This record gives sequence, C-alpha cells and structure tokens, in this order.
Amino acid sequence: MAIFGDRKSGTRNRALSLIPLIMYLFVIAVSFLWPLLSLQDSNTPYSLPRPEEKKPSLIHPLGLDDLGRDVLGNVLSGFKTSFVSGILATFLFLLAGLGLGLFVGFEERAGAGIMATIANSLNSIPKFFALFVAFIVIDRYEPFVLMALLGLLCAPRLAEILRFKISHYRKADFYDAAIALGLSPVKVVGKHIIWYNTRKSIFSELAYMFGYAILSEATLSFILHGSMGPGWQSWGDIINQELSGFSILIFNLFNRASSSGTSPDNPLEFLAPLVALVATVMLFTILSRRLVEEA
Amino acid sequence: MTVILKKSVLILLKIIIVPSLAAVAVWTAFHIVGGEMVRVYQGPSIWAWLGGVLGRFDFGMAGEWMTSGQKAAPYLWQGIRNTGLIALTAISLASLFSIAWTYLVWNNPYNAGIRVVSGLLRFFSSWPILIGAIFVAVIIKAPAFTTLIMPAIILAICDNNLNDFRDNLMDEIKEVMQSDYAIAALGQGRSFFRNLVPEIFWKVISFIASRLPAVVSGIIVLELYFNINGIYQYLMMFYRARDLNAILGITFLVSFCLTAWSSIFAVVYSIIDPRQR
Amino acid sequence: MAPEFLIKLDDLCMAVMLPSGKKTLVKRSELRLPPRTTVGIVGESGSGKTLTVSAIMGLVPFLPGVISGELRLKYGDGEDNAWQDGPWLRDSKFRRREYFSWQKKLNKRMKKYRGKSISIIFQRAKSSLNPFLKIKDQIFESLRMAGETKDRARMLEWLANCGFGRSEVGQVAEQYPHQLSGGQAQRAVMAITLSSQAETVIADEPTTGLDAKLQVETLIFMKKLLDKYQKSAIIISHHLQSLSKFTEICYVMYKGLTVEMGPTSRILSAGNENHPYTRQLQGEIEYSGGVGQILSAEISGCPYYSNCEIYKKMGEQQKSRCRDQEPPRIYIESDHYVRCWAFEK
Repeated sequence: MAIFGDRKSGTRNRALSLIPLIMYLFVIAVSFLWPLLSLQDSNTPYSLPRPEEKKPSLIHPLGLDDLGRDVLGNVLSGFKTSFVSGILATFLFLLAGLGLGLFVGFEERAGAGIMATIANSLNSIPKFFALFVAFIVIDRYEPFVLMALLGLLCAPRLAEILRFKISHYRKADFYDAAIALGLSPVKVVGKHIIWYNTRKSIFSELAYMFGYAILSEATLSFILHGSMGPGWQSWGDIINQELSGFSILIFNLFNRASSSGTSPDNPLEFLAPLVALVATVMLFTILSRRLVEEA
Repeated sequence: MTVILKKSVLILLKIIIVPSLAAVAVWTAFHIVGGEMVRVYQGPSIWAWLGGVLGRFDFGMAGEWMTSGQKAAPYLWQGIRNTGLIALTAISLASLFSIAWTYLVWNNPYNAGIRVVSGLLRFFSSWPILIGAIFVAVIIKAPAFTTLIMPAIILAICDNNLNDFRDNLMDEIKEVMQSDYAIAALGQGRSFFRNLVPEIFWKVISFIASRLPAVVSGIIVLELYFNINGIYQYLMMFYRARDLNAILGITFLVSFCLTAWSSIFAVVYSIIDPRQR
Repeated sequence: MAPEFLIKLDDLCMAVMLPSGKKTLVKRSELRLPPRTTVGIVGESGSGKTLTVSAIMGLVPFLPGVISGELRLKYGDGEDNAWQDGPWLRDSKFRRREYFSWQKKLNKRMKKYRGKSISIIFQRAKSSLNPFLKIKDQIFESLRMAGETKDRARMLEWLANCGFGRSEVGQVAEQYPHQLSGGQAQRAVMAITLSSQAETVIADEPTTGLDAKLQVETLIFMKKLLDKYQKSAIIISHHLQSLSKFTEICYVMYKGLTVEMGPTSRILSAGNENHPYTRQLQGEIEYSGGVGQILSAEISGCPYYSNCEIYKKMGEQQKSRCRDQEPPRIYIESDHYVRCWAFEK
C-alpha cells in the first residue's frame, strides 16, 4: 500500500486496501457522536435486566450486558478510548522519536553518543513493567497518561531507524553532491533522507505503534480493572467483566455437554468488544507490515 | 589485558549505576506525585536503602502481606526467576520455530498448509494474550499454569512482540540464506547449511538478547490472571500492601538483571562475531 | 577418447516475472566448452553473461528464470541431459508449482557437479567468502570435497600456488575475510575454488574492484594455474582486450543474445568480418547509442540495430528485416559465426 508516492499500476489494489482504514475512521466518528445519537443516556443508573431483555433488539442491536448497558455503546466507547490512547501514544512516539533520531543521527555532534546510550537504555526497559510502576506511582488508572508514557518509552525504536538512515545516507555520494549544489543540510536531511527515503518506514512504525498502544491499553485496563467512567470505557475492562461468560462459551463449544448446564445470556457482551479489539489491532498490524514490504 | 580490565570495570559500573538510577527515578516519581504510599512510608531514605542493597544486598523486610520478619530478597529473586524462565522459554521456542519455519517455507513456498498456519499465527498474535491463554487452557484442559511451560507456549503464539520477533528473525535468516557467500558455497558445492550455521546462530543469539525485555513485558497478563509468582504478581502484592521498599527492590532487581543481561551479551557478541573481535 | 565438450548449452532463454508481466532477459544464449580450453564471454553490463553461467550452475535467483533451452554435461562417463525446456510454460502460462518442483530436482541434480566437476568464482570475492570462518577452514572444506584429508601443509601449498608469498601464507590462513585486502581475497577465493579440483572453473568477472595492474596480474596468474592443472574455464568479462591473452574461444553477448562466437584471435582482429558490436568493443567504432535504450531482450529483431553503423546505411527493406527478424547464425568459418543480416550472402 503506497502512501503519497508510486503512482504505478496497482492503484485499484491500493484503493481497496484503504477501505478498512476508512471504515475504521467512520466508526471512530460514530463513536464520538454516539452520545448524541444514542437513545440510552450513559448516565442512567445500572439495572439488572432479565435474560430476555439482554438479547439483541432494534433499539439495542447488540443487546444489553449484565448491568443493563447497551453493548453497542460499550463497544463504541471502547473505540473512542482506544483511539485517543492510540493517537496520544503515537503522537508522542513520533515527536520524541523524530527529535531523538535527528539528534543521534548526526553522530559527530557532542552528546549524540550519550543520547544514543540513554535511548538504548530506555529501549531495554520492559514497557509493561514501566507502565505498571507508573500506575502504582499515580495510584489510579489513567489510560491517557500511561499511553503517553508508552509512546515516550517506545520512541527509541523510531529514533534508531532514523539514526541508521541519517548516518547511512549522510555517507552516500548523493548527500555530498546535494551539499555541493548548494542545498542546505537541513533540506537534504529533511526532504531527501527523511521524506523520500524513510517515510514508509516511519509510517509503518506509526501504524505498528497505534495498534500496539490499543492492545496495551486494553491489556492494562483488563488487569487493572481500569475505566474512566461512562462513555469512556475500555475494551479490556469490559472483557474482564464478562470473562466468565467467555470461559463458559469456550467450554461449551469444545465440550458437547457442559457440566454446569449454564450458558451466557448474551454472548455478544464479550464477543463484540473482543472482535472489535482483535480487528482493530490486526488492521494496524497488517497495515504496518504492508508498509514495510513496500518500503 | 588492560582493555579487558577496562571493559570489565565499565560493565561493573553499568550494572551498579543503571539499577540505582532506576530506583532513584521511581523514588523521585513517588515523591513528586505524592500519594498514600509516600505518606505511610516509614523506611530509610533512598540513599540508605541503596547503601543496604549495594552493600549487603539487603532489600529490607517484606511487607505486611507476608509473614512478618521475612526478608524480601528471596521472594524478589523467585519472581525474577519465574518471569525470566517463562520469557526465555517463550523466546527460545519462538526462535526454534523461526528457524524451522524459514527452512520449511524455503523448501515449500507454495504449500497451502504453510500459508494457512502463517495466517493463523498472525491472527492469534493480535489477540489479547489472556484470551488466547483461556482458549488453549479450556480446549486442552491443561493443568495449565501450575508449570511454566504453558505460559511460555501461549506467549510464543499470542504475544505481539514475539510475533514481531518471529517475522524479523525469519527475514534475517532468509537474508543470510540469500547472501553472496551462501550462494557461493552452493555454487562451489560446499555444505550450504554448515556454512550458514555460525551466522544464523549469531543472529538468533543477538535477537534473543535484544528482544528479551519486550517479551518480559508480555508476561504481565499471564502472571496476574493465573497467579504465577513472577515480578508482576509480586508488584501487585506490594502495591496492595503499600510496600514502597519492596517496589523499589523489584525495580532495582529487574534493572540489574536486564543490564547484566545486555552487558553479558555485548561481551558474547564480541567473542562470536569475528568482525567485532 | 576425450569428450567433444564438457558443457553444451543451447538456445537458453531466461525471463523474470514482474508485476507488469514477463520480461525476457536472455534470448538465445549458447556455449560449448571443450576440455582443457578457456572460453571467454564478453559483453557490457546487462548482456546476460552472468545469467548464462548462473543457468549452467542452476543458481538462477529469480522466477521463472530458465524458460527454455538445453544443457548437456559430459563429466566422467556418459552424458547428462541436465535440463531441457520445462513444463511450466505449457500453454504460455507460468505454472509456479511445477516450476518450483523442477527447480528442486535440478538443484539435486546439479549438486553432483558443483564443486566436483564445475566450480565458480563469483564477482565480489570478499563477499563470497564466509565471514565467520578463517581462510584455512574454507580451504579445508574444499580439500575435503576433493577427497583429501585436512592437511595443513597441503592447504598452505594451495595458498602459495595462488600467489601468496611463503612467508605470509601462515598469516593469511589464520585470517578472516574482512582482514584481507581485495586482491588477497580474490586469491583466497581462487585457492578455495581450485583446491576443490573441479574440472571446470567459471570465473565471473574475477578482477572486479581491483586496480588495472592487479587485474592483469590476476588474470595471468589464473591462466597459469588453469594450464598447470589442466582445467577448462569460462571467464566472463566486459572488456574484450583483457580476455585476449587468456581465452581460446570467445562469445560476444549483447542484450541477451550471443551475437558472435569464434576463436579469440579472430574476434579481436577480423575487423570487417566481426559483428558491428564486436567492432565497437574492439574500439573501431564509436558508441552511438543514446540514453533511454531498451534495456531488455524484448526485441523481436536484432537487439543492436539502433546503435548499428551498418544499419544506418541500409535500405528500408533491409532495415525492416533487422528490426523485425532475429538474425540467424551466419558462419564465416566453421568455428566462427556472426548473428547479423549484413553477413548474409
């Protein structure tokens, strides 16, 4: 999938491969507008619906969960939370990665070696360990703060790509030729090295980071039972709440006779957020992989 | 000799300074943010604590959640050991799989079964690890998480980082198989694989060394949900017990182990790779 | 009785599959290697020289690679039809699975020749050495293939045979490839290749990257060794003059087509009885090609017509034949042919 380049044959394939991304953005837009579109007020007190009330209906297309919340609303609020988490992490990843990469790419500069060592040390910190410690320090679940921290911790990965490309291409003949022609180093590095030669790798890393941040946020909210309240739920937290139902469903699927004789009233209450999470992460993982193959 | 001595001293300094800095950073973060843990803390200052750790390897007493009078150190080491073993097993399984898979794909690029398995692996790596774990545990009714092997297998299949690791390692191995000297060996009738083994081995070692921290990251879900006594389980216990000493201790130990790990491998690289020697 | 040829390659056609479709790279390449003879293949970059020898060795790195042709090998007793036109282009459709299984069988078949009957020296000597093994270990491996024991004296002797001084062979043997200079690496590769005692050596531009003086010295040296051990060889070069002293027979290739073949002395000096491209290589004619030439063999007629001085002087009918019909082999002598319509009687 080409981005802003290569207008050779395969335009149709590229257009088709953009469709999942467009669909995702549409869903994000709907999730932000959901409080206006929804028939159910997110501030309504929880209820305990009967099993038949939990089934999907016209008003609640994915049904209700155990606390009477609209499952579709849960899923969309998960889209919203994950999107903001992903954007925050990716933005800081890009900012810090670019800055660090540009600094350490010029190896002869004073301090570049030290910054490179610091970047390597940051890179070697297990991310979830650092996030967990950060959660302990803050003493409450703040997904956006944690995702911002994740973006910063992952920045050395992008910095290393930039460092390699800048130091490699600065030794190439075309760099000297461009400087000799009168172009400024800033222009040559910014336009010719970073934009022309490195942009696909950068976009690939951004796509990967976005997917990784979404999965990380869901994982943290799962294990820490974290949520930011109505309208800003996290998929991880929703899945955690419905986990017993999931286990029963799997058990029943692979064991013809279930020993407990129970089955979940509305399997969609955990399948929907799970499918949304897996689909979103897969979308960005595949996008990242495709960009790497094209680079 | 002086070069070796100089390098050894630098490594020693690194494995003392980096964990100490990590502990100081966490201590500082706690004091900036404030909070209950700082308010209830009655232990020594960070410098006294560091002095105890570096001087006597004394991480202080365990928190109230353990039998009083117990030292924290054995539990911390147990946590590191369990998490480390799971991580190492998972990454070793992933490496072996990468080598075998690359060879299989190299010889059978149009095999439908291989393509299906590749797709499945990519699919499973997008799942939250826990869901994958439950799936496998329920289907095969394994005694699952009382041993460390099952978490390692789940991690090897479902962890996003290890999927990345597998793909990158397979790309590197393919590159080695297509390198000039590999083709030259083939053209000169010399053993293709015998010539490639040293470089592939080196690549696997360097991958394991550099990617282990990322794999350690992914174990959090398995530990906390399945009550495996690893670093995350202990961290959660220390958090609930408001035990700042123990949190600093585990931070110090994790940094210490990872710094020592990367330093040892820096030395190993320089021995294995003749270009660096 | 000595065989008439060791390697006989006819009508080789090779192509690569691109997203835009099949692109022919070698159209009609051929080669006959008599025993104890050195054959040269000369042509500019992109003429298909390396691809031709890759096809002989079964080391083509792209798909589909070989489309058609025939390779016959005569090493030891009997003659082996190594490969012929494959089934993968039946009905003009490229069948990947069949091709791949053919290639696997070919690889297995060529294994008995590689290193034992035919060995190859690649263009970039340093990168074709294993960076993780010392030079001595790589020579030992070759000696093992030749059925010899791991004998240090023998290994050092091979290094000395390949131009290393007696005082430096011990040091060179203990070094890794990255510690050698370009010239040393080239000689080390020669030692490894020749010590395997293959009957035929293929040297693909063996002097690339060396300075002019060293290029000549290396070729002289290689020729001496080949004569000493009575080996046949195929030497590839893009420089006609450099092959003049070292080869008995020469093939001239242009854009995937063998345009001339004959004794090297005739190729170098026949003048008007040479293909116009050969004369250009000799330096008689100035190169008149412009930029933006068609860089593949997707030309139905003579690939050289757009640069050809003779073509420019032809009538329209003759020009049309040059453009649209591939010229056949026209024999000047029994052992010298040219592919050029201008030589048709």
